[in-house]
Amino acid sequence: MKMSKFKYSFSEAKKNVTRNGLMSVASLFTIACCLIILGLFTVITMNVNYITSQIKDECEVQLFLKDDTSEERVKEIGIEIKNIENVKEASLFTKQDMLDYAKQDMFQGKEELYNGLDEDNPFSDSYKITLVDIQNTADTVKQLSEIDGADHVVNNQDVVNMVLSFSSVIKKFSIAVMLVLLLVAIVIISNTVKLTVFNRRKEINIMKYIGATDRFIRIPFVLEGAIIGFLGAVLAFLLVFWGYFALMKYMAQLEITVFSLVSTAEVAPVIGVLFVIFGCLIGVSGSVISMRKYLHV
Amino acid sequence: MIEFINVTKQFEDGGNIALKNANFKIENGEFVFLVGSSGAGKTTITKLIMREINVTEGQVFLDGIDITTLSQKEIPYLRRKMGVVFQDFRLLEDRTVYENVEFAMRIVGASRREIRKRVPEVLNEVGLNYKAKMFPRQLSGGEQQRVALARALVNHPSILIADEPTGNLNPKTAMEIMDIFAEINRMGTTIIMATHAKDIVDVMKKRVIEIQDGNIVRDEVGGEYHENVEI
Repeated sequence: MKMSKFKYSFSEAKKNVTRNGLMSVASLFTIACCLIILGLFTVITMNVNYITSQIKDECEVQLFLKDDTSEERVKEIGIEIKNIENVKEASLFTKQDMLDYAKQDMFQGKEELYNGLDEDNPFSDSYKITLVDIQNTADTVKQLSEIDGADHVVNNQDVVNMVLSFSSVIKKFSIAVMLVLLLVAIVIISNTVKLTVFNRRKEINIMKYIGATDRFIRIPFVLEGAIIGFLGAVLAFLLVFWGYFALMKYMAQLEITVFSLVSTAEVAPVIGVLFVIFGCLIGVSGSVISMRKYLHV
Repeated sequence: MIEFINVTKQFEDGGNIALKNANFKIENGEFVFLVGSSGAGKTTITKLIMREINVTEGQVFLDGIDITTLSQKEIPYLRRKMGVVFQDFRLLEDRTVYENVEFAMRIVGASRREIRKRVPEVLNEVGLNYKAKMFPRQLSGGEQQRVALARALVNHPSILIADEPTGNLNPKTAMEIMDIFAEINRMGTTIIMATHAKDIVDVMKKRVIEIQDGNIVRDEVGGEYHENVEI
């Protein structure tokens, strides 16, 4: 397409947007709303994935040993643990380490609670074990339990399973909501462009008589849809970004250390690109659907 | 040259036959009136030439090409050889005289320089250069038809098709418009005009093709409007 024709098409598209001001604004807000919901689900999905990966990274089990296990056997058990295939790291926490930890973190300021514990330490020696693959936790736990001197194993498999299944439900639900919203947005934008096409049917008719190709007639309408879609995407991006920024600020105040959220710097490009692509796609699809009727002269 | 060979046009299956076995030739540079009562088939002929509709049977040749076989994609390029003027002018109300004419050049991809040169030129030909910045609603019927003529002529068509171009004009204005058509024809453009205007046909003394119920009943060079034709 010649540059002069493209410039003409683009200026016509801009005029169309302003000519049907109210409908354009309505479409723009509808697309923005759809994209905001899309953005929310995307942000939730990103964070669920991120948190799941954090939990996976910190996937530890703890093997508690029987009280009567000798120091020598404790060391041997350490070697046996490291020989298990799914074990990444294993570090020993002696009963004394556990008592020191309890004194510092759990009973601080309540010295009366651990009076006499030094003489009769109620804790057991244990190994904190980091796993390679979270999916094989059950097998590894079984292997650990079978070690001579093992008392019991504590693991966070239930929590991990819950987060994983929650993440899977969120992903499926997000995809379903996105598809529905996409269809709704396409129908709305197609109605807006249909209105433009209807208002300009006389002009389209004249264009056909003069010898305009279908492509030349279509392009301004397609660009109109793309412009509305793009503006809707920009509006949605600003709102979602602002909302996420506020959430991050709030989370920082809460000083949560168990898990962290995906940073705004990582969220912004994903949301930005997604919104522009979806916004323009919705706009263009809507235009193409509504263009067919008036092209037959 | 335009040539109709055994052309029949029937609308829908088993519907009204708008044109029956029509045969005629129009040479380059001719001025032809299509006359006949309403629904006789005049507009069907102009629509077939523009490929707005296609034949049911027969062939229509334009400069040696059978336009009945053209694909949808080729039709716009066929239409660029023609200019078209309607009874109701069909101007864009939200654009100035200049923009209405410029619009036709934009569509065929003319450059800005060509547009700046050609639009004032053609507005001058129809005597409207001084009203270039006005909107159609600010013009009389005759002036609006001149704008439509300028738009039809701006891309140098070899054929000008006019469907009742004086139907909405008073006799004086109609004759002024016909003078412009005559001038355009003198410059070599083929003109095909469907009309009911008896006075004009009689004065112009051009070729007249008369159609009744889809049949060509008269093809007369230097003819007049037939007295028996019902208006």
